[in-house]
Amino acid sequence: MQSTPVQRSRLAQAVVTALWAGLVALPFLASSAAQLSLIVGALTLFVAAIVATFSLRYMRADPRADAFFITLALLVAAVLGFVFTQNLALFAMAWIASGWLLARLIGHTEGWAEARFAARRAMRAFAIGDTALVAALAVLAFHTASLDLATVLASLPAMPAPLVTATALLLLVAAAARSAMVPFSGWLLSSMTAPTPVSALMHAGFVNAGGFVLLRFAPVLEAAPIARNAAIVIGLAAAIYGIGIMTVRPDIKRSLAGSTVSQMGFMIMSCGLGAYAAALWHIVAHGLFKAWLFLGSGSAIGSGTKSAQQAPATLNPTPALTLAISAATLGIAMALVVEGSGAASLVPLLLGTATAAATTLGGLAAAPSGRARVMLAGAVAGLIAFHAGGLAVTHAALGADAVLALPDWTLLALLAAFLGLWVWQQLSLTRRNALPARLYVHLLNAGTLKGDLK
Amino acid sequence: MNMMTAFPAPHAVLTRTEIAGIVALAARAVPPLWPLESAIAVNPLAGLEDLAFEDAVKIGAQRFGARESLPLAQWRKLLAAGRIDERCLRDAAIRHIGGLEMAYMPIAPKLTRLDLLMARLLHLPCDGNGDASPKAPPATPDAAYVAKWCAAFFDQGLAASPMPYRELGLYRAVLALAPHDPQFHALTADTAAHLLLTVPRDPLEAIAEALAVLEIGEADQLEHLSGLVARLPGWAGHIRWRNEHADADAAAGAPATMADLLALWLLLERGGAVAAQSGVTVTTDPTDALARHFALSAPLPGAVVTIAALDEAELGALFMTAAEWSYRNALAPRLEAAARDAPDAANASPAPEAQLVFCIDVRSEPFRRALEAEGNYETLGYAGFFGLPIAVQKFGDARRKRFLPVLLSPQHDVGEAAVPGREQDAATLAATQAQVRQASGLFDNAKCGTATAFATAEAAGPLAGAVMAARTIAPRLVNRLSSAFAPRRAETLAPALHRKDCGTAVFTLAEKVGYASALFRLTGLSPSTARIVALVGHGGSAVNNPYAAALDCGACGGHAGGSNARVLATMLNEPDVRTGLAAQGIALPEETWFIAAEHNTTTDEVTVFDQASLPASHRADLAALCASLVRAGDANRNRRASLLGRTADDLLTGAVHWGEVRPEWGLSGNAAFIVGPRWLTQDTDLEGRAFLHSYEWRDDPDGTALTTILTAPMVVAQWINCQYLFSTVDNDRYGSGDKVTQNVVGGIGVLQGNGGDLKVGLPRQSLFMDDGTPYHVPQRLLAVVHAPLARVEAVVRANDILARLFGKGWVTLMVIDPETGKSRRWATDRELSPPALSENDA
Repeated sequence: MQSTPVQRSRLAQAVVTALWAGLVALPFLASSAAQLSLIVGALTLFVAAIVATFSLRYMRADPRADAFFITLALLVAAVLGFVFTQNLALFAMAWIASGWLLARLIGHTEGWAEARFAARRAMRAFAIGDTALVAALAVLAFHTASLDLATVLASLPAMPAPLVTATALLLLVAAAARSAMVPFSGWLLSSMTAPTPVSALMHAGFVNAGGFVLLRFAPVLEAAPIARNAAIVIGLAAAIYGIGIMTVRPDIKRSLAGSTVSQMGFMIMSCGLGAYAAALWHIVAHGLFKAWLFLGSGSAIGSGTKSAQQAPATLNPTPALTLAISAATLGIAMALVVEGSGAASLVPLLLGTATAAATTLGGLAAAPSGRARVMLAGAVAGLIAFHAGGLAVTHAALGADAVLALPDWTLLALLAAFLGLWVWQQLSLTRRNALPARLYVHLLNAGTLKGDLK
Repeated sequence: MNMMTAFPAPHAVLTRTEIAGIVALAARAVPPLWPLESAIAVNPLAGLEDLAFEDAVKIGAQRFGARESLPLAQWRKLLAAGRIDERCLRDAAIRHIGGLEMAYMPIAPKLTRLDLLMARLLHLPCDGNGDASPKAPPATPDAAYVAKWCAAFFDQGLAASPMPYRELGLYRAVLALAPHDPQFHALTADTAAHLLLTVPRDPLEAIAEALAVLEIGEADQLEHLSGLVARLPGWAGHIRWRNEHADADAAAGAPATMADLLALWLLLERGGAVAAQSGVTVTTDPTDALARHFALSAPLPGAVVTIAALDEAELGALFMTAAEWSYRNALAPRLEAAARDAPDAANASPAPEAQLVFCIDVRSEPFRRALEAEGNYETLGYAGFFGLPIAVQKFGDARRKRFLPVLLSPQHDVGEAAVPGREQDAATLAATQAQVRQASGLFDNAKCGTATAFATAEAAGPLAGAVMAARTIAPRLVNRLSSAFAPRRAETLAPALHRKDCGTAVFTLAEKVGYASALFRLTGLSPSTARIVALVGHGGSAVNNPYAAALDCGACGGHAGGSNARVLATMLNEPDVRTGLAAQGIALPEETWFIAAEHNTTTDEVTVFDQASLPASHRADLAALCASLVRAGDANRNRRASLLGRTADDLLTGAVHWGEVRPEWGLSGNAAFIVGPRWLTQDTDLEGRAFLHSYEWRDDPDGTALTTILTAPMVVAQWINCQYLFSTVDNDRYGSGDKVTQNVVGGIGVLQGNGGDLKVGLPRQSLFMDDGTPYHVPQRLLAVVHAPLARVEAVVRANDILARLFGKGWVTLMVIDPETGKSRRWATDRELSPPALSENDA
């Protein structure tokens, strides 16, 4: 059944219109919904509307453009479904549907074995995560004899602790599969068979589901410190592993995928710490950031000339500066901890401060002119303002952070891990040292499809 | 059994020199592949151009696992759409059968061979679903492995952390990393780990040892190595580009030769990891269908079996011939008629208001036609680098770029400097560039730091969201706003004919006069020039598009041609150069002023450069010309919009939209290369399918200009033609596939999906319409020359490359005799010859 180009564009146009209309109508239609749902829903619709509008041109010549736009629309509907529903059964169904639809889009190109393998790999990862989710929701529903989310969460204190812990761990597995944490990262890292707009939506809208489910069921996690600590560990691991992948990949799309693994790890870690507002703001801002990078990935031709390697070394903060900033950051953290204000959001906030300091100081040192210095300072101030504004919004939406489930000093250890690696990384960059061979090969191989190996 | 066979002589290990010789020959299996930053069209079968076209296509298909022709279903669609004349298909079928008599002789009641063949061509079911771009089978594990290391090794800085040991060269770097690579061990036999320690470190020695160990006899060595080179045509082609066409700094710190690549392949082969290439395609036997179609019963006539035995490739070849004949039959009579009505030199039309020299590019022709309709303008065609073998280092660029055809190497380094009086703006531009560089450097660094990556994403997110929405919804507004705050580059900077550091001239006076006079010698431009002569380069507009440079001027090395036009116009306005020209008999009127311009082939807007330096006396002339250019642009944009199935206004949006995958059709549709004066083609709408090189045979008695035109611009046109042809025939193997799943690698090219070979050729969107039928009809170039037969024949016979291209059927040569106005076609070696110039048969 060949549809004519005119019909095809009409269908695509309808999807685009529906998405923009949905975005505009969202605050009115869902005014009673939880702020968390509103924010994640708005992000999903915004990115989806942009992606669909972009695709009117980009996917114009696609042999299966109809299927593309319909699947895209259904995927967005499924994501909105689990984001807004109060019913656990609907939650599970929408959740499972969204995974299946995304896998369809990863394998969108017909007759391409690689795409089929990649789709199947995603389905396998989702199957494990979905099973865990269904099991967790079933435990909750059976125990409270209710399918209503609020009711279930309200009756948590009556649940036996081991059961809560098991449920929380199952939810964590579900989150890890969606957010591409280790050992589930492979599906995301080998999903480059998806058309570019799908990747944009996937990295901006879909992978956030992991963080969303942890935030939605935050009370379950808070009742299970082991699960929270596990989230910190797997989050930290993915945060660092993903950056490693990102820095070694010579292709733009998998490099971005490595970055997503890392960013999702940081977000899951924040959830584990209990820094909910920071995690939610990370979901939103990273979603926009990554969708922008993916849609613009065609611009990477000739980008080599401005790479970190060939750029004047002065553009990198010097190792001494890096070390000084790291030491100062750790010093502030220590002071705060000793003083007794070691809150969950200390890690994201202090890393933000270190980033601002490194960018400003490194940039000022290398700025070509006085005017450039002023503009740089202005730009950094603006970005800090955006960041602070975003955090304020998510704080207002989610209320207070959870109390740490770990002793305060672990925050220092986490910070030290990020900062220590950073100092090492900048030192290697400045000296143009390559990574150790074994590590390099491992990172380069990460996510290779098994289908194209023996 | 005697003693001699009991102890087989060990295979002699070849010396390094011998191996180097074989490797150099094997490297010719693939053409060089230019990085997309300066995309250059090449014939994917360039290594087989010594063979007849038909044989080369067959061998290429085996070597690269490619299709030989478009699928039959696609050809039928082109026929149904009227893009091929059915009578020509019938003629091609008759020729294939062996002439009219054979074709029409009944072989059964009311049945001829022609009926059988036409039924196969037009009606019988065909193989496959007719999808023009089926995806390749997944890269075999061995190829995926080699491609993985090539991508890491040749990265131009996309990865922040480079591959270790690159300075050792590709082969040795992989030897050093493979012991740590589980994929290597999974791929190879257990002995391979030991092999990693013992194989020679020198790639040539390693090849020699491998050939001996694998017992590949001397007779098979070249074929074996060629086969390995062709396994990854993209990366092998990249190696050829790096070593043969790039400036030395492109390979700095990471040397690699074809020997590295082959040593790596042979290492895998010794490890037992190289899979045999399977190129077997199962096709259905159409004999029964043919018999049913004509209600024949056994025993079937022999002709049925013969015609049933034709495969789709052979049927496709008949369609291609038909497409070529359809085109030629429509064009030849019109050109012959024009040649017979040659304008008389005595009562020539009044002197033109202005003369404009465009690039030979097929996209110039419709614009020229539109402009000619606007007034008394004379237009000419000349290679778009305007004969200047220069490299240009743009203001703020770290490297020079080659603004010349790849057949030449740069003789002059041209920089850019502020236009007099615009020094302040130039300083502003420089400051802006420095700031942008700094900001992007800071951003790139921050987004991959383990401490800074997260806050960077969070801080940049809202801004990214706003930019994303603006670029998607209002790209033209964004474009206007971003250009409103910066000085216009073209008005601020100009190519500098003096070196910045020492002030010495880039060109000597003699060189300037030489380049200036070539314009007249090669195009036949009369020295009685109009008040304004415009040299019009061209470039395309595309954003966020890896193939943007493929829309630029190929003669300028895949860059926009404005710089070359500006340099030559500047020279031609210099009094010394005018004096020098006069000394050569080219005395230009004093009131002639040369201006440079650039035609944007995506938007059909024309930028006129350096208007400030125009004498006041010529202002009115230029204003009139500019108004005509705008109107011609509007007309041509409307025409092109209908071909793209969009509105003319949408073309302007597409030119700046980051989601646009087909800003224009580029050189799709190219079919002919016409050498002759403009009046020959002026009354024929060539539909943007012809390269037009101006040429006046009377001014070229010894054929030197013709030799240059045929051996340089025409050869480039043939590369372009073959790239479009083969990219359409098999878009996955010879082309780069669908744009939407492409993945930029190393800053130099694209992969499909997760990895595999660096893609060659053009993407699907550049060649096929939205519904999947080809916009570009695959057909070989038709070269038309307006000159006396004897002179053309002498030129062809004196140049091996021409004798080969015309003789082996890569290009069809048609000569239009100026005296008789009759056309003659150069016979291929296969056809009966002599005489080489036979009566035009089709």
